[in-house]
Amino acid sequence: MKNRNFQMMLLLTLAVLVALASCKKDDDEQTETPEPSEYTIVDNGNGTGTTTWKAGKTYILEGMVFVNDGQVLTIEPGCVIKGKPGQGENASALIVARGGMIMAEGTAQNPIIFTAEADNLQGSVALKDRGLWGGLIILGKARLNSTPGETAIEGIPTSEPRGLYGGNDDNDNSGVLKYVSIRHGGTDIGEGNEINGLTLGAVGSGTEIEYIEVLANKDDGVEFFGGKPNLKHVIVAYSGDDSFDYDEGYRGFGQFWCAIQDDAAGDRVGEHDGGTDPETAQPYATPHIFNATYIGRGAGAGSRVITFRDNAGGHYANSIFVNQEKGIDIEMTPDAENSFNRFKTGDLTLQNNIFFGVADGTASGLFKVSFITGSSANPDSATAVQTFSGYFATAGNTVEDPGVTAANPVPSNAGGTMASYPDPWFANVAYKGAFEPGAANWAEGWTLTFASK
Amino acid sequence: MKQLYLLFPLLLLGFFLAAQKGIIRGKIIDAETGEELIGAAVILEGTTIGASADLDGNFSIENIDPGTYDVKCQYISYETQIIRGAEIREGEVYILNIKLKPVSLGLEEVVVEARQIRRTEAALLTLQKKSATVLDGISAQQISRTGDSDAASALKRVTGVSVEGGKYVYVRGLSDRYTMTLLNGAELPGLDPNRNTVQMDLFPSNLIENMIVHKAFSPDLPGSFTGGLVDLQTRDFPETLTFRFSTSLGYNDQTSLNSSFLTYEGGDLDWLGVDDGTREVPVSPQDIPVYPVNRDLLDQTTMEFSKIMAPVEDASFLDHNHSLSLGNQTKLWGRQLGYIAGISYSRDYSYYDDGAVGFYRLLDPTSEVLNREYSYSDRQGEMNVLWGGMVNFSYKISDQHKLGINLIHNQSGSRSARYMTGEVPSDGIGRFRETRTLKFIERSLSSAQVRGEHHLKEMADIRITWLSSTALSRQDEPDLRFFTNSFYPEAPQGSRYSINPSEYRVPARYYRDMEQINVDNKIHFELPFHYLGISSKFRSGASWVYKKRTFHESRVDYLSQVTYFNGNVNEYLDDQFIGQNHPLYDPVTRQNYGLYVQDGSNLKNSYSSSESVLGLYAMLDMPVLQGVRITAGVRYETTDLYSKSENPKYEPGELMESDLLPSLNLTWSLTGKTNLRAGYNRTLARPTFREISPGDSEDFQGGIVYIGNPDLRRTLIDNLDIRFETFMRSGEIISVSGFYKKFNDPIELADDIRANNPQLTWINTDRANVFGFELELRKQLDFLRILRNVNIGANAAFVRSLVSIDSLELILIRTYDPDAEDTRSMFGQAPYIFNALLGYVSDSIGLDVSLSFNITGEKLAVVMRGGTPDVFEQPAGLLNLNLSKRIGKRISLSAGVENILNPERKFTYTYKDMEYIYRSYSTGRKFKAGISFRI
Repeated sequence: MKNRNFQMMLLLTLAVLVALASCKKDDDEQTETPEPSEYTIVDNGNGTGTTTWKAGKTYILEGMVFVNDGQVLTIEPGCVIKGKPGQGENASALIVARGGMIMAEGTAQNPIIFTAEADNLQGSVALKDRGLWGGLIILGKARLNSTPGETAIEGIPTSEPRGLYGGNDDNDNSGVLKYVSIRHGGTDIGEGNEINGLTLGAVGSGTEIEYIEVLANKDDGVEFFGGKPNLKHVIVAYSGDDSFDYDEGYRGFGQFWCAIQDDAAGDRVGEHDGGTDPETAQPYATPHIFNATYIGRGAGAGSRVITFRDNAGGHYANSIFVNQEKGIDIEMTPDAENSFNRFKTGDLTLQNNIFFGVADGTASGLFKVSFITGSSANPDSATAVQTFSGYFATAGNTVEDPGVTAANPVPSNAGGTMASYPDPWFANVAYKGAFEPGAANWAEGWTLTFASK
Repeated sequence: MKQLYLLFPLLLLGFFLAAQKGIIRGKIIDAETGEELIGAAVILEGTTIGASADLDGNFSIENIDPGTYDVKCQYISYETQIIRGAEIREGEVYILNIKLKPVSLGLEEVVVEARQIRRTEAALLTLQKKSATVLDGISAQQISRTGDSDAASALKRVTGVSVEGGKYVYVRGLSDRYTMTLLNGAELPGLDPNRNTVQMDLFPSNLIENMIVHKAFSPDLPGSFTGGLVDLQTRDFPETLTFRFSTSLGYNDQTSLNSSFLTYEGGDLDWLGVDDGTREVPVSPQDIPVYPVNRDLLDQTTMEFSKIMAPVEDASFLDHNHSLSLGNQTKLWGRQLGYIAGISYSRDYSYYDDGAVGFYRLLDPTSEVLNREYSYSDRQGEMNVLWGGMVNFSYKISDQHKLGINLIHNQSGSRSARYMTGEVPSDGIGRFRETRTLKFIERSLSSAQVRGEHHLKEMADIRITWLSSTALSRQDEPDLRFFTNSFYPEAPQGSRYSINPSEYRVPARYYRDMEQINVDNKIHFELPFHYLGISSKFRSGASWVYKKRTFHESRVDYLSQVTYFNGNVNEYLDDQFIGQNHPLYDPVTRQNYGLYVQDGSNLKNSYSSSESVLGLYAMLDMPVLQGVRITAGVRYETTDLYSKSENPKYEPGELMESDLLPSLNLTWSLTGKTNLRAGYNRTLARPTFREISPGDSEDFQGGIVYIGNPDLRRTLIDNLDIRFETFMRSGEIISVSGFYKKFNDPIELADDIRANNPQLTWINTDRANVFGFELELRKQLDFLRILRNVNIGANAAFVRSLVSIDSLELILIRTYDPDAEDTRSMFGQAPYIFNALLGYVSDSIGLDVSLSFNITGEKLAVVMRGGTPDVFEQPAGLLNLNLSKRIGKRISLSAGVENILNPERKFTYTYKDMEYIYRSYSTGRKFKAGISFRI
């Protein structure tokens, strides 16, 4: 243990020396020390400060590093951020606290990369290695449906106020994430909790999130805790757990989401929960997700496309779901409010989606009701199975081959009747799934999943 | 320990040198107050041989020629007593306890027959009677009748005492936070980092003289107890040579010789409660290479760890228990030396395969049922070893000066293996989990005490007692292993078994050790004086208690880049599946690296702490009216507590406080045998080192995390007590007590509802109130001739407590039920505790039979989040039968059955009149038989 302390001291001393050296530069032009290409970032409670992480440099996160309330962290395109290994209190992560902002605007040519310290970006880490560091966590002031409307993010004790999220401002703005690739994260932060690739806790709709890759994260790819962030062009590949997860009343928009599961790992593609305590709290989870392409693990692997439970609602339309053992299930409980009831009241819709290679390909195999203990007491239980499977066809869902594979998610055929877009935020496209049939793959080049063009 | 064995031959030598002439020994006390009469004279009539009572009221007349004597006992302003017909035999000690009555109505001399008063006095009741405050207790005599083998099981016979988990003493339904344990008056360290007091099962009952439970504070006692203070007193001056060897065997009908008993391969010294190094960590966790830096070295490192992480089935042996004790008094440099030494060893097993573990939640306020998050079947096998040795020397420098030395070493070890499996619908319908736990805990306690008593007659009759004690305790938990995995019974092999770190902890090995040192120094002065012509006392004294603890925890986690395995734990850990050896590993892409270890330690969970408490007191014990005695005084205590995490990022816990603790106790002797007592006292409770340190610890079940709170304050408690008691005859009592306690800033666990998963923290809540009453009866049934050898005893306590619920927690509770109460009962507080004992004693045929029963009402065990009902431990009646028969003078046989009713032990949630199991198991019946030999 002493070793570690010593190392930290050494690093701090180095950082101070570097700082001193750079101060000196202004006074004394002659003693010019070359700027280091690597910086180690340690948070002593003061956060990163309002600062810019430069293009071409590497920033190494040691432990949890916060962007505090009032601070703005700007990350230039091409900047590489690496997390040190370690679990629990030693887990490394970048956390944008409530009131803090991250301006991480990469480009397709120069994406911003978050990865493990051991990753030299030249293959020193295997493509699907998971859990080598923490992840990126953004916390905001939008609404949650949990009591008391404020929660501590998993793995950070409530005594750290910068780990709290939730508030009343659904339009809250935590900054910009664009062309950001998050790789090999998901280390254990305590008692069955791991860090998701990208965690969005009560993030507001003022935040811009577009062109995001989460690759080989040990826990979920992207997890939403309440809030109203809108995300376009997201690719989650080879997650150890779920690809997209939401809880505590997420209500944002999503378009062009692609999930590719590892055939030897991963749970659900979409794990969608409503509330926690009580599960029936408001606002209900009712995000709109259009043009998703979810590619599963295949038959025999036991995984599911999407589960809606704990009174979750949500709207999936114009999407493609392929290659999975189990389809979509919605939960029914003995109580009046549950995901099945969200479906009945129209808070949960699944319209004009294409399925292929999922379950047994029948409506009753693809759209299932999961009954939890005592559900038979619910007056709807007798007809729920028929009602929900009958909905498959009435809502324009089809079983047909869109010609999509994990290696090439661009469909050969993805037309048909389209559900209309609920908001001008959505691109009004006339195809299903995340990629335009026959067009170029938008993930190519800047992601590791589709590295080569 | 070696020194202790060396002492034995020495002691045996003393035994053979014992006098060949006869001896009379005994104690002289005031028949009304029970107070020892220092200086009272005893003379053998018709001789010049005699002695006077020492500062304990004890006397000893030696070198008496065998024969029958009349013994005369005299003391100023007391009736002279002549005891006729004391038969003195060669080499034997004749025990004679004498009670003198104050002079009244000119009656100057009374004559009694020796055999009438030879029955052993129930010394403890006398102590109770003469005490200035409320206390209860249990004596060695009673313990031997109930057959209880350790202090914990004996203590639960005492009014208002319950014992949790066979170890932790609760007095008046108040948890161990409010209970304190002393050994001959000195504070002992607790061994469990999460607890405040000593595990009482550490003390074998054959070394105990008596255990006194003080229920009311007086200024000469430490201020940090509220429910009760247990003072364990070891044997001092045996009146005669005592030598006792006993051995017994026990058969548990659900454990012993059961071939499905769960265990695991441990070390060669497990039978001694000591790990032989087998469980030591092979590589310091911080030296484990970080994946994926050096894959070759990491492979090698992983291979160095033991492959044992799953329980195996192996039949257990019978329980067995052996003890040897020896004591006598002899002369050293012409002065009396009393000694007692004892060693004991016991080993027992417990096993159940009918256990159940469940976790339920209320999802919605309108719900009719609780939702099952998971339910497991549970099997557990456990072996417990306890051995110890004690030596106690008491030396009378003169009749006015006494010194004592006490040395103790205790060692206990517990090895357990557990397997749970069941469906976890909250992970996914049809998904199962399996959890295996292998555990070994060793504890030791070594203590050395020196104490003295001085009666300075020439200096205003001052009495000084002092004590200096150092105790070292250790608790090691080497290689605590957890292995959990999921499985889908329906899935094809290849994707059936997996480890899902997002749902539970990855397989891990913990290494924990704790060391604590306690130093206790005390001095008491007692100055007698006369007020209203009645003897009174002024007492004062000082104490300094210093404690220092270090606790260290490290953890090694098993990780893998391959999700699935074949379900076989042993194979999972086998070298062929480690790292690059894994069959799926691709050396080119380096994909699918197999099993590897990583350091999972959290520095913040390790801490070092110290506490220094200085106490000063002054008090008066004097009559105010005829028959009314008042004890009034004040104690001043300063606290300096400091606890710091090894991770410097966390602020240390610090507590500096000075408190005045006033005390007023009244005793009104209605008649010589009946007392009415009332008292007001202020006491305090300090946070434990664990509670004030910022680290985390986890619950075995439910993913509950406990986090320390460096901002904790101490609790002040106002106590009101009232008691009516009547002592009918020797060994008989009826008492009724009532009490009320008001807590200021009580420390309770609260769930921070802003945390994602239950996160319990110790906080100072607003307020708490506890009130209740107790009844006790001990009676001989000899008023009916047929029942002349039968006695009964029963005691009951009824307690109610109310603690305010943390305001944030209450918000969540009230989203489910807007009318929910803002208080709950205190953790572990039972609404009632009931004990009963039915005994038959016949000296003529040497038979002693007793049937004892103990039951405790439902206790709050786990506070659940939000609207989910809390978990309560349900009552489970414990009925024991003990039988012993003397054969000749030296041998006695014993037999017994423990837990005759064998009720299911249950922890349950109750919702809308439905019961849901949080945990349940049964312990089985135990049949015992033993033999003991004595001199």
